[in-house]
Amino acid sequence: MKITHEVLIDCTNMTGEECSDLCLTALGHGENFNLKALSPTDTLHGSVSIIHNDAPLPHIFTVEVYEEDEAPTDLRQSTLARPAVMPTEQDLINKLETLA
Amino acid sequence: MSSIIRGDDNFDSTPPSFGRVVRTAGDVTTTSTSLVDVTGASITITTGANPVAYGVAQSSTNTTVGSDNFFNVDIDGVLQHGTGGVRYSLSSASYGMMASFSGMSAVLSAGSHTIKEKFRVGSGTGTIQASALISHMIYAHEVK
Repeated sequence: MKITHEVLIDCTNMTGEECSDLCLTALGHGENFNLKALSPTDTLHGSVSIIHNDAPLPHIFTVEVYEEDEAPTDLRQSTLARPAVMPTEQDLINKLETLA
Repeated sequence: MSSIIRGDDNFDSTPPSFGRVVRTAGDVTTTSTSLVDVTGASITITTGANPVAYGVAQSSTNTTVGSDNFFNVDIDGVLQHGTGGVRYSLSSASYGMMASFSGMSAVLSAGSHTIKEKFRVGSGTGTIQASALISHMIYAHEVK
């Protein structure tokens, strides 16, 4: 499942990486819903990509949650896994809106 | 952000088609370990039956020391730098380093072609920087 959602936020006082981490926290990133690998062999449940536009343009968030398990490949050492609790698209949008 | 598109014929007497996008705002970050589109870094040009040369000029960071950012160029759905891509290993956390690369396609069919950048990380959060200070550019031109 992949959603794209726009939220007007101001991250001029932080780096894009810090802003991305705030987004991960808002989405509930953690062991059971891992959206960011700490090492290349981690198991991931999804990912977040962001265009950090400056105001008045909104940030554009693309959140992908893996619906099927995928073993590592020659190209990707991480394992992709469906989370035990699959969020709905509206769940994800509601959580992104908390960043506004 | 600007996109310049010129040329719509196949005759050698015409200038080669080209396109350029310069992004001066809006860093792009990802935590994806699979290739994702770099939104905005896309060019569509109409060419004759000729190759297209392209380049990406950019600085990139990753939150994790020693992690890799991988970049690729997709032309009409075909990855140009293998299924993995061009690999940049970041020796410092969150420190912008040059991650520019270039290439040239095989001969394309005459017609419209879309050239776009993709990227992914090995781990951590990868960033392509885009600001007035450090711009992000992708360009492509027909070779004839």
